[in-house]
Amino acid sequence: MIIQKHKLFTEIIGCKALGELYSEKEKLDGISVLLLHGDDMEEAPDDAVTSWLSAVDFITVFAAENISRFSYEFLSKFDVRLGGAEYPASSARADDRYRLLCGDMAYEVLSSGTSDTAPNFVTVLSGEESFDAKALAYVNRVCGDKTEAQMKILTRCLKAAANDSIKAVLTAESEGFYALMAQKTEDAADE
Amino acid sequence: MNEQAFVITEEEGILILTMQAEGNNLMTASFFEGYEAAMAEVEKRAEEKALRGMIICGGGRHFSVGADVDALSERSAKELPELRETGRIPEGHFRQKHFFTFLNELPFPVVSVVTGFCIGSGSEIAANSHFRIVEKNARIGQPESTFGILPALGGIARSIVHTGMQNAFDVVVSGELFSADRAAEILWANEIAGKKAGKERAVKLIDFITGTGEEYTADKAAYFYRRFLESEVV
Repeated sequence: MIIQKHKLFTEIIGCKALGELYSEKEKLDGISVLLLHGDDMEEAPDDAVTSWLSAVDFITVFAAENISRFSYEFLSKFDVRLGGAEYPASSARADDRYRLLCGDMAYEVLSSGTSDTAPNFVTVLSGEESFDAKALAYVNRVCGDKTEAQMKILTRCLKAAANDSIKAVLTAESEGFYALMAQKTEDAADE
Repeated sequence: MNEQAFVITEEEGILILTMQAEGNNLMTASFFEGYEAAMAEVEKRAEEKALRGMIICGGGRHFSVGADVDALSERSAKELPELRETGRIPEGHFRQKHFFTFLNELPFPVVSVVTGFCIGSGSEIAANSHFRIVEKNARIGQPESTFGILPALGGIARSIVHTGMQNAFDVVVSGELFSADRAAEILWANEIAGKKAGKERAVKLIDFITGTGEEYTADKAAYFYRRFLESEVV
């Protein structure tokens, strides 16, 4: 397994099971975004690993071209899923976690049983490059040229929804805004 | 700012707020002053009588091009000494934020009809609404992160509620603008309407919700919208 550190995210290549990642979790301290390439992985249920993954303070992105071979229970531990095709509705579950990951309307559509695919559960990547290259390009595009401090604050806001509540996101937004504004003002004064 | 920058009318129990401030609803200090006064009026009317719904739209081609970044920096520069001194976020921010997020708390359906540019804090008005009907020409986005800041008027919270963590990560962190089609694909938009057809659809949706006779709350918005769509299939 290779842990490749980029400026704003950390990429995991060649991981065979989540337990392998868990055993090196100290190396992920302080990161904002994790991109895990999962096409070589097998699911291996482990409560300790599941609990850890559910509580991490960084955004977790799981990428696998053949994403439908993974269970909903496994995939829903991640904040973002990238795949080569949509995920079948019959394999997903309309629960609170799905609502958080995919939004209110997606939850409503899945609950109604009117769609063959699970809305908003997977972002489908298309193009000629290898799937791993497309997943890397996706995360690179989203992260762009932000500073590490800004990325941490944005991550904190998003993760407040997963680890706390939507009300907590509203608070985190306000705190983050003023922290970034203060930083901008200091940077402008230094120039 | 012109006297008629924010016009509130009422048609058959539906409040209609038309925003037609200068610069395609560019959110300057004077825009926010007028917006807050208009929203205070909405809040008062909502308390005084039973309304069936509310529609928010732009009076010209655009919903709102968002905040004037220079004005925002100027305002924040004035607020920062207070923040440093007290360690508390300025009261003015919470007052301003209230007039965005209270939309989500209103006990009747609030529908934003999105046309043209719907950007930054402008998109946060739409995001705090219960429903978004997006006309074909719209370009939407929260580009704050590309200016080194973030959407702080409910934009991140409501992006998560509408599009899930899955898409909020992209919408908020990348800050890229997206089309009406993309808005519908990630379910930020409830639906796409033809040019100048958004308001009619909004009225139809509110009429449907009234017609169910069921108690309406914002957390049931998606449920009501699904039933509205089903009612049209028959």
